[in-house]
Amino acid sequence: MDNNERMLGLLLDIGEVMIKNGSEVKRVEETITLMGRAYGADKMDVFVITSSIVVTMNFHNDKSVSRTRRILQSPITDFKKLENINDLSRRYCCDAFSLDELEKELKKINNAEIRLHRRCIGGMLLTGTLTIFYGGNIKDGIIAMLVALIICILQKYFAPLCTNTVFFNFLCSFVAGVLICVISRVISVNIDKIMIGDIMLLIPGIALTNSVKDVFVGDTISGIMRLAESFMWAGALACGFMLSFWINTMI
Amino acid sequence: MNEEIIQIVMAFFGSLGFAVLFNVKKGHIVYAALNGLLSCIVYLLAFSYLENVFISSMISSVFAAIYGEILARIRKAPATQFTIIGLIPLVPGASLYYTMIYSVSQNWTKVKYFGQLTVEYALGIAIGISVVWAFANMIRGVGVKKGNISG
Repeated sequence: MDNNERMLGLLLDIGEVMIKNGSEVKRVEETITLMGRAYGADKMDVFVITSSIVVTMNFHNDKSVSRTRRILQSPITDFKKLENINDLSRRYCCDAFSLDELEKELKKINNAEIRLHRRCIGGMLLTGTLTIFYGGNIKDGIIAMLVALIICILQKYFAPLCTNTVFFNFLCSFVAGVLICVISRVISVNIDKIMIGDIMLLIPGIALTNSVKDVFVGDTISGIMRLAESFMWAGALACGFMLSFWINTMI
Repeated sequence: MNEEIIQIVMAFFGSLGFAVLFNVKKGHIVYAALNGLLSCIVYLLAFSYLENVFISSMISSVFAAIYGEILARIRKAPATQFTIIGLIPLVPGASLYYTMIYSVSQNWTKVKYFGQLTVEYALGIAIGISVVWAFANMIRGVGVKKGNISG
């Protein structure tokens, strides 16, 4: 395989990692374009939406290589990876090092997965404190934390089995809602405050913010796509909690 | 007053939790969470003077976005992580929840009230950050063009 093709593959990998970790579309396009130019392409044609990347590299001797990459997974936000990729691309643009080195560094960045215990600690901390933020007492906070732990574990092990995020969000919020209702039968707690705290963990805040940003900087297609997606996720969340709440009032 | 202090402290820890969840780099975590605390203070202050949810959430989201852009320059890191973590205390989680709970019990006056509140929060945040991003993009654009000419 010649070097141009290989570089193109690496660029697609970089774009894929960025999208999967919750980057805005504009930044992905910029990064790929700049790195391609640094590599030696005359003109870069890059089109990125949240589910696909299309890149064509044009070289001065009328040669061009082009490829697409389909992205199926919905994003999980990991700012550390995004920052490392940003760093890598900046270094590459200053001084284009060899492809072997680029590949090695990319692999290193991509393999540094966020650890489960970190996600659990973060999730528990935020649900507990935000439950109190919205007016719950300490007991509510602790129960919200326990439910958050279960949600985090579900996100890690159960989400890959689900066909899509809408379905997963629905099931996850339903399970959380049922748990909270069962707990409320045993000890007296404020159901509403606990549910609000756990909603904060599941709410697609980043996707919503990014979609606003995408629309605003001119990536209308990606923006609208993401906006519609996050509304569907939020709707699924609401349905899950509502169903559990409704069952609770019936019994 | 006491209640506000609890809210502000909890906003800090809530933002800290999100920073850990989203795997913000260790050096940036406290700065990102500080944005949550400050934007919560800005919101409470703005709301106590104006008593208008839409305008107050817009003001504090403008603040959070400016803080994010400035910190991104200082710490040489993407701005999004600081901005998004700072917006956490403004997310209308509670009003969204009450909207859907009252729609189960078919209390439509309450649904209208909380639904409107949710939209006001969300629009305020969106408009606030969009304005700041537009200006930040403009400034960045000028910088890039200068770089091209000199380079």
